Amino acid sequence: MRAARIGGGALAAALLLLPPLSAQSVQERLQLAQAAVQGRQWQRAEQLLAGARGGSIGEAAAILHLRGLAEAGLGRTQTAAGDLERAYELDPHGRFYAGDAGLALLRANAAEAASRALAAATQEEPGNARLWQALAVADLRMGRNRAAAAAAQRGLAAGSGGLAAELHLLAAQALGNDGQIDPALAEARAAAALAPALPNAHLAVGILLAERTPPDLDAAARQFQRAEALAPDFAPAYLQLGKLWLRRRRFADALSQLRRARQLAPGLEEANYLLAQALARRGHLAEAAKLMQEYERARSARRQQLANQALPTFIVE
Amino acid sequence: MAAPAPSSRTVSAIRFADVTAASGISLLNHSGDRRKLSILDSLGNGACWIDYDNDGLPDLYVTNGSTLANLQAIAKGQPGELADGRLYHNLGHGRFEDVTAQSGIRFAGWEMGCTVGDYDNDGRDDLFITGVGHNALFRNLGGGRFQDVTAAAGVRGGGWSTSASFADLDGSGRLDLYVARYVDYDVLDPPRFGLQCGRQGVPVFCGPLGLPGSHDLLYRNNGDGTFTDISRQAGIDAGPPHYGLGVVVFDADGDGRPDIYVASDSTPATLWHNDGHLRFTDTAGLAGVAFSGDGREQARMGVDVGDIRNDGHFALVTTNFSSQTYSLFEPVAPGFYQDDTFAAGIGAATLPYLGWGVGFRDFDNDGWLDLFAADGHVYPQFDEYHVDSRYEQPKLLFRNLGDGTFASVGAQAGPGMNNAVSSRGAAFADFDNDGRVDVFVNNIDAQPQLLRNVTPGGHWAAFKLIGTKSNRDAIGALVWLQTARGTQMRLVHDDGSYLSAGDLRVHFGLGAETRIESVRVRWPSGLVQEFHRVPSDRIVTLVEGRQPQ
Repeated sequence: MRAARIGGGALAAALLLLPPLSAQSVQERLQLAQAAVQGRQWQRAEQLLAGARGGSIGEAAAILHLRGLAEAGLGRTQTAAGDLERAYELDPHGRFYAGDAGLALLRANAAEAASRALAAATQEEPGNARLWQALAVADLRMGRNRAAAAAAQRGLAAGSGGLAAELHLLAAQALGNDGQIDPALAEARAAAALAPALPNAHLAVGILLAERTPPDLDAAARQFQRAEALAPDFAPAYLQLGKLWLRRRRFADALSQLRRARQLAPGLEEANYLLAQALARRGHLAEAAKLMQEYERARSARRQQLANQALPTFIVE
Repeated sequence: MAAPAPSSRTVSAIRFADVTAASGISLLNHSGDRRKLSILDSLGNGACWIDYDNDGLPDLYVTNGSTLANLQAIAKGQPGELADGRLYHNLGHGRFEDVTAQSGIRFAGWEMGCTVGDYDNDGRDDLFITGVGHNALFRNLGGGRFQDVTAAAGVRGGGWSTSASFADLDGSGRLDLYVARYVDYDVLDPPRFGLQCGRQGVPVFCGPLGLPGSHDLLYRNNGDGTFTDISRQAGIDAGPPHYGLGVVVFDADGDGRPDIYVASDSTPATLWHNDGHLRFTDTAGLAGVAFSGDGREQARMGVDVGDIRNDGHFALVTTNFSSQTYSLFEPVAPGFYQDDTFAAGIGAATLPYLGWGVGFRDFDNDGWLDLFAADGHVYPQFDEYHVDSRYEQPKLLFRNLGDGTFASVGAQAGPGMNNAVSSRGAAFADFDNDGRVDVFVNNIDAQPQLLRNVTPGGHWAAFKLIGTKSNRDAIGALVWLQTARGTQMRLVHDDGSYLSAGDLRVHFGLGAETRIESVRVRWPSGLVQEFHRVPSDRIVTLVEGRQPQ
């Protein structure tokens, strides 16, 4: 996969280098396009770069980079990610290319490529907490929990400023996924201390309290209730409290929490599943069965979608 | 019934000694390409304890894999090579002798797992072997000889079979047969993707998602040495195909009829509720055992059931993929379960591991069922890329603390628990009849391990049940043992775990108790019998309708 992308980058370079426009006109267009990008005039930037050819690798990379930023601004995340990554591959020492490519790739949900670019970008700019945060997100999406936790912690060490609570939460999630519940809980608590009004922080603390050995379900419930109080429309808090009441066999309480979660976020699949469980345990079997049937249908469609993405589209003979 | 008090127990740390080298068990597992370029190479094998000569010492059959080229040769009608599965005769004193050559057990191709049951009620346990492309039934003729009766019995099947279970599903007194199946895999036109799929940024083999799944097989025992495939009329064909791996048969809702739980890879698990008359309906979703506690499909491999709280109810455990916890489901009402994995203390501790063979057994004889699991990843490529999980993983052992929670104690249980192997099937038996449950583990592309339980102390009792009206192995019988400390319950079964079969004798740890107040058996026929003056620290045979000798 990596080889294919490098090949694509080389091809793009060849196309961009031949035939070149005059160096001056390319430079002018690049300056104008950069100004347009800084002014968030995405379409103008794209128009300026249309048909542009670089006279050097550096120019070719700059064209791809600015075009990628313009495409990202216009919401074309996939093509933006492609152009930004190619710019980075053409000129890996371009100061901002790796970071921009990584961030765009992350937005385009290309976690593996994003992680690679962001790992390079953080080497270039180790003091940029935003890049460490993005790297942590990319690694989390890939299931590389220990790398994600390390990235979040590097971001904190870099002087994270306004990102501190978010970085603590990322570290908490990554450590929790790796089974390191107590260190994860410490990170989540740090986030809650830094941002006591952030419902997500209390949610994370509650989830980890419920997952640690032995679990502290009373304290977890209080965290979920705090999150509900801070954000009465925050469905995940109702969902987690409902799940906790299910664990406690408090099915009536679970039912009311899960109904509220579903009301607030009808698309929250987990709420549908848990609600079906709570209904069944309260003896509402017909309603439970209907909901479960819907849930299983939705999951089956999701599996089909994953299956379509799971396999390569060609066969290696 | 009162449960034994969890407090004031003095128990020894569980210890296993790896006695493989001295045992004479010396085969090497072959599971295709060691680089694991295809899903076919990844599942490994199991083993079955089978006292084929009725000498009271459990013997062992170990299944083995093969190569794709061999499977293709067989599919084209060429003779192909025999799988290197082995039958080991237990000589006592920890020694085993390879008796495969004279046994008559020959399986052409690629074996997967096996199960054991006296399907013809002749007093000799028979052996069923699952494989890729076909299965085989070997009838025990006595004298250490088996006869391949697959064709005559009508159980050759097809597809990629994994775990199997003998159980009397219709109360006929005869053992029916359930066979789980995995990917619908055509050996002559296999998926040839190479390492083209990514996991955590690492190129690995593709599947099972995206590959066609299978329906399982259910055979009714006709009572004349033959079986009839009733998968369709039983309802087993209903619903979407899945990737079935582990099977356990137990009465999940207390209605007196055995139900079938199938652990599936990446698809919802199935709980075939026994509606009677050999009709089944999948109730796993509402029962709470299809998905994880938050409603996600798990890649489940192994499974077992056990009364972990000594309250007369079965909990269900499955071993799952890494980054997923194992799943521990506890009953909350008849037919309904709750995911209590984290509450039980086996959530965080199992997250990094990919589990396979699994069993609830009382390894320290303290009167509480502990939990053993064999682990190992499917992607050797993970080691090159330094991702969070390693290909070779330790086995996990959790000691039951008596209050519904477990403590992870595997790291202290002996070097054999922590050596560098990627394990698959695990089969449980007290092979040396010393009152402690031992474990045989089949490791992929490596030598297996015989782990002898050397935990000191703890009284015990074990029972071999013989059905007369019920199936002769008494599979499906429930046994309650009462002491002054309370009551424990066991199910007579050898299924569960992964691709494997355990000792059919039921084992109880008694802790400091030596006096058994009573043993009550509910036979599959419905007969309930109570036995008194039962001795401890020995294996007692209980015959349906008779008092012990």
